[in-house]
Amino acid sequence: MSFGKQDHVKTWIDFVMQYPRIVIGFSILFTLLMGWNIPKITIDSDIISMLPEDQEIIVSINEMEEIFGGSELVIMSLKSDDIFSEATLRKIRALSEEIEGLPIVDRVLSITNMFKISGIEGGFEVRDLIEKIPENEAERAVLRQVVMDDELIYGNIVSKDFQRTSVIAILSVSGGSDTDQIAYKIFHDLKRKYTGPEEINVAGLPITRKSITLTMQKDMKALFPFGISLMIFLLIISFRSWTGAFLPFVVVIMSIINTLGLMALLGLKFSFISILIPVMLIAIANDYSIHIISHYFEEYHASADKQKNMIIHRTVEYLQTPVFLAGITTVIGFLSLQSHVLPPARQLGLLASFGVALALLLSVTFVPAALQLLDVPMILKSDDKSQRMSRFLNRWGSFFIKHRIRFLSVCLIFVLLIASGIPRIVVDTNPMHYYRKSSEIRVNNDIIDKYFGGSTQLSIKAEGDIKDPIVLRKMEQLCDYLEQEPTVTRTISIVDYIKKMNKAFNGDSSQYYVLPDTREAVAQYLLLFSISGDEDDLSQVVDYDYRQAQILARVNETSSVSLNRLLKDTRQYVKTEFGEATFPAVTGFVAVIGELVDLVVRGQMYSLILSIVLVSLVCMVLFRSVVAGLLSIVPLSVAIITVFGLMGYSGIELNVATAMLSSIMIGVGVDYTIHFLYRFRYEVQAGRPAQEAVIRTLITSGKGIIYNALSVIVGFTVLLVSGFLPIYFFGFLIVFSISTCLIGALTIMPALLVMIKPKFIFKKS
Amino acid sequence: MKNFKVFITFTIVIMVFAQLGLAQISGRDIMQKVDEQASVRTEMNKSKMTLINDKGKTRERELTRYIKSFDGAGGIDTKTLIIFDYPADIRGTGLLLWTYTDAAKDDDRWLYLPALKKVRRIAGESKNDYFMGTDFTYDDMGARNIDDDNHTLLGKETIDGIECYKVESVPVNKNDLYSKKITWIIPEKWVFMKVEFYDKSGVLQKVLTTSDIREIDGIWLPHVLFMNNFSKTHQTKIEVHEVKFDSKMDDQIFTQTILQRGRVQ
Repeated sequence: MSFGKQDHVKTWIDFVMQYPRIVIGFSILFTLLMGWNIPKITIDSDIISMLPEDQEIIVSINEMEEIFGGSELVIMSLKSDDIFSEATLRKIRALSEEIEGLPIVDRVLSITNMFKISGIEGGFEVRDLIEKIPENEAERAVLRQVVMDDELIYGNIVSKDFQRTSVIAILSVSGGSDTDQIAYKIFHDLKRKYTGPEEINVAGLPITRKSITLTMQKDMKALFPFGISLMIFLLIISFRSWTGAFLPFVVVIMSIINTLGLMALLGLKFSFISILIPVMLIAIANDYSIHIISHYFEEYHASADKQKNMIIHRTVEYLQTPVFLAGITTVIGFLSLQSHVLPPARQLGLLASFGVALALLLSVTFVPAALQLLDVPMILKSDDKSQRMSRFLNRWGSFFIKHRIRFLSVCLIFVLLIASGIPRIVVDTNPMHYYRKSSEIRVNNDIIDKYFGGSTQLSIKAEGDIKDPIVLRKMEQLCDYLEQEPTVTRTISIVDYIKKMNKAFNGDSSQYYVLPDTREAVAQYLLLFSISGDEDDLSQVVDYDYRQAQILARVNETSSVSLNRLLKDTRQYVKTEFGEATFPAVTGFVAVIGELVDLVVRGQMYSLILSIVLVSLVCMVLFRSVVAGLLSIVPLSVAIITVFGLMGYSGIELNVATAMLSSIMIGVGVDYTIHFLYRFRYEVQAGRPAQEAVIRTLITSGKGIIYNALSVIVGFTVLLVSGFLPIYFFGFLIVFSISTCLIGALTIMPALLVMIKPKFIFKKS
Repeated sequence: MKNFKVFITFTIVIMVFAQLGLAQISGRDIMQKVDEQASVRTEMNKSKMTLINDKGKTRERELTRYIKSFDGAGGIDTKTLIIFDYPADIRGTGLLLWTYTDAAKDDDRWLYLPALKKVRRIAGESKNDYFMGTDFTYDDMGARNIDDDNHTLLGKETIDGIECYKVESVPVNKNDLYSKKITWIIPEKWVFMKVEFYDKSGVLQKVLTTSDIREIDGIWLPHVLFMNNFSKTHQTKIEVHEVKFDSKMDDQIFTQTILQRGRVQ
């Protein structure tokens, strides 16, 4: 079996041999042209862009923001022994006034600019919550009581222990990395200016996005040089020659430059997932050139005439099938990510497969051309070391052949045991969990969640005549339902404001904190609000002509699975209780996290199944046997089950990054099995009995397989320095799973092959 | 020679003043004339307010206003009664306002909601500087004392073919809502053609333009006021349908009894 027609291969390699300078020049020129575009790449740290744009949820979120204004806000939280102390209140007032004057800020919510309503003889009174800063304990006690009675303030702007208060800045501009940059700088300067003795924390979506961008830049600065140096180090150790190290290095760099250039040309944005692309190429893309170079060195030493051209020809001819196969399965693995629903995963699959394919192409064009022009130097691994390795592999193979039944039974039991961890896998899509618990951004957001009722919201749209008490009662019922959900801390809707007006109008008496009975009363209370309240407060809960309203449910839960359940329960409740006419959309950031859960699971399943099917199909075609296809995925399946079982038991979450794991691992991991089967068949067809053929395979291809896997593993370990937890765990799991694939290929395959002696190998030809 | 120089300088000064046509009038004088021109004892008007938000959606309200000036009799400056006529769900809703000459004294406000059939007194500062969701502050609508600002005549400028005085008014009180206002005034009629409002940080916040200026009962009145609020991307249009000046207006109109009745006659 060979790929491509023999004479075609000849013409192409002949061309490379004849015009090596043209091949090299063209490769470099093309790379430079592609690389020219790289500066055009923009960083995208928006969490929403993790989701496909045509996803219903994105459409509805955009629609809600269009109607009720965006949720672009920055929250500054102040901590003090008593926030109502004179000094602290003065500080809060000064801070609020300074923020109010910022051009990027639309309005500010702070205890120093809130108002209170109280009953008086024959009516009610609207005054500033803090007209005069309290100077003694008695005055502070009065203020505390007023705050405790106002549920729009208590536990919302002021923490229930009176030690924290938040100053919320609603930004007038939204989105855009420039705004994030400005907001980040301004609010951190403010924090520095106002800190001490009060503690200040800053949080909010613009701050989170900027932090993600900063971490991405830091990651790239750390991972890329670290990965490259590790690779060079590894290459020099193994080849002990500059040529041997230099050529694979150049191939990897060219592949990375071209891939990033393509990214820019396609207008794709660099998300935190994209950090994986260069690292993956460093780990994977050097394999093919290493194979070519090491085989070339071997042949060169073995040959008598030292005819470079002839040796290169022989090398390429011998290696084209296994190298091409290893490359094609890896490309297939990455392309399987196209079945993923999440755009970053699809993007990564496309770009990485391009990078790998290009590295493959360069390994059979650029590398032979360069080899022809360069001197042949090199000291290969010492024979002594190589022989020790062979002796070890010999014993290794004999052991697994001898105890094959026992070993395979142990494997089976192990797989069944660890598989029981799979149902325990937790899905996590909350972007806050990109960070370690101790990181500044997590700490700040946890404070908001703990003291101010949460920063994440579920948003429900109501449609109809909003002034109609029937519609309002439905909204009230839905709010009551939501508030008894354990994850929901509070709800905010037009209902609250109307009740508040009813209460105010009736001498601020609590028994009137209910909805009025007529549409006229509602309309007149809304008019009253325009006299005594701040009308801007209403714009986030009702639209201008009272046809659409928004219910906001604040949530202080961060578990994606809980949010997924809240989302589904709410949708179910809305459907059964009211029908979708009144509440056509249940959306918001909670819904994004909730829906991502399903998408991550679905994407994982689809890409896993697709890559397994495609990879086994390639093996079926290659060996012209169904059994071969099935055999080739046995070590993979063991590795997959082990990895998912481990995730379940160790609590590593399935998230946007780790959901891509299986496809990548299948594409890379199957190489070892293919190399093994290919060599094994060769040995059997050369007339060796099964056991001897296994040993021969181990000490020839086995060495290459081990070396290959180790270089991939080492390449991926650099991910362990990433500042993003999903990337960190992805690194850990891919190292673990490639190791499992390697061990599987070197233990399960020998034992299985000797046991079942498959026909496609042992057939008499 | 020396005399000639003085003569030249003098001539130029005269010419400049003649050019401006204001050798004898100051910014304060102009504002004084505006005040006097519109000075009435009573005013009744029916108008329509159209509020337009940033998405072009509108809210319409029609109301009738009765205003009577008391010139400090009993400490009272003015009394105002506002009754809403449209839309139907707020018809009959009324607001009664008493303002006092003593600046330290809060206005008294009573509200009547027909759906509740109750009058309530609303005490305290209005939290919202803007009048009922419009882009007019209570200050913009009410009579501001002439010496609350320092007025400077900036010159003359032609707007829509009408040559206007251009006056800059800077509030005496540094804590005022605005840092300055620039007003274009039509000479002889002494009405505003255009007003620019600058916020505390000196940024142009709102622009008021007037049109359909007609003489009613001997008083020049713009029948259409259009306020464009840039800081809130919001607009307010007020169209006056009917207006009467200095008609006889009983003090009884400005009582809770009338407020509760929802109409004056």
